[in-house]
Amino acid sequence: MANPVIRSITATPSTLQPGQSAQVVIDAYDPDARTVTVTGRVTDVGGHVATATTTLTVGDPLKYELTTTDPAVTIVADPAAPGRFSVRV
Amino acid sequence: MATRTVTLTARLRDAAGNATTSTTTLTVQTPLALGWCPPQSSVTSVQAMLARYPRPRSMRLYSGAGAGLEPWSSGLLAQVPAGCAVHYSFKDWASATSPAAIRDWLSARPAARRQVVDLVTLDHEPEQQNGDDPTPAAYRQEWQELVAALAGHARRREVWLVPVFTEYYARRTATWWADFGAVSSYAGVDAVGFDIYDVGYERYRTPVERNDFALAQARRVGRPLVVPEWGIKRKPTLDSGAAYDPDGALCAQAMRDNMAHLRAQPDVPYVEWFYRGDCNLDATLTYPSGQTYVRDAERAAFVQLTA
Repeated sequence: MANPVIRSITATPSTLQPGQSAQVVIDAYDPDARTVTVTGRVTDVGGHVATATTTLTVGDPLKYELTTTDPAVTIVADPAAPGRFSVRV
Repeated sequence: MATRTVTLTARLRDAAGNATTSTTTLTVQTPLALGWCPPQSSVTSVQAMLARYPRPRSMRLYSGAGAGLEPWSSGLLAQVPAGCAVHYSFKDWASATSPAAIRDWLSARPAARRQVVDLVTLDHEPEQQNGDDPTPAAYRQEWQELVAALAGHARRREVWLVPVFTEYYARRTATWWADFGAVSSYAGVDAVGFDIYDVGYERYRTPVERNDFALAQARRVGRPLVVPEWGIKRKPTLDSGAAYDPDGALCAQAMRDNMAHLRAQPDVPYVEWFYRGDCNLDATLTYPSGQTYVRDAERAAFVQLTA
């Protein structure tokens, strides 16, 4: 099992004044994940065939944490979007 | 406009416990906080100042020799609004007991104050050597013990340790750096402070003249400059007796010019006006000639500067 990989951490804005908040997004993936391609095939009575595919990613659920040692900073995770945080300075 | 860098650490774990970390930074631009020293370091004096200036961004308070450390829960420090940084100075230090006392003091800092960083000074203006100041060697030793005492404290980042010096003395004394100033280079010191007045000058100094030495000393060690005592005594006449600033208009302009200069610096986060003695902007004062005066022009400037 390999460690997760963080592609990037993006803070928007990255410069702010006391009391303001930035949104921080961690973009990451699990290198152990594999992709499964699923193909759907439909045939009518005349023998005509239609197909379509989609992919599924099979991987571990990742747990995201964002911390700082700065006591004046408050970090709140967005429950609707893993890897997204609000950071108030 | 001072800046500080906030480091954010991202940590990811998968279900098997494999983890990885990465960091990014935020830049926090903090406008210079102009505050005040109350006329006396007493609860009633702080409360009176808070009635005049109800939302200070910084406040300078101190405990004199023999007074120990002010508690957070009552007295002076309990008067400081949660969003106002306090620059607290104390004089007493004993190698056997003070390290534990200062650690306990930091541990007791109210959680409500975590939105600001407070500044702590041991033996401010040690150059005075007026009876309650340690010798230069003792001063350096006490500061070594202070920074060591708080190193590794879980809440260390909630305070800055700031040695504060006497600008006019330091500027004019060749041995100042070796005796006292070297403390500003110690590991664990967060900022360098100077108390700055226009003592010994016939006219008001320009902002550059007033601050260049202090800025140079802070930048010499790569740390911010703070000015916990800033005051300009009104100078009604020149040495010749000729009128210079009888109504305080020049002083008020000097105050505005000084703050404009300091606010333009990238590394000056805190300044406190010395609202005491001849710089008490609400007092009726007396010139050497015996004539009384009030500092209406200067007070108006201060109100404008702190608005």
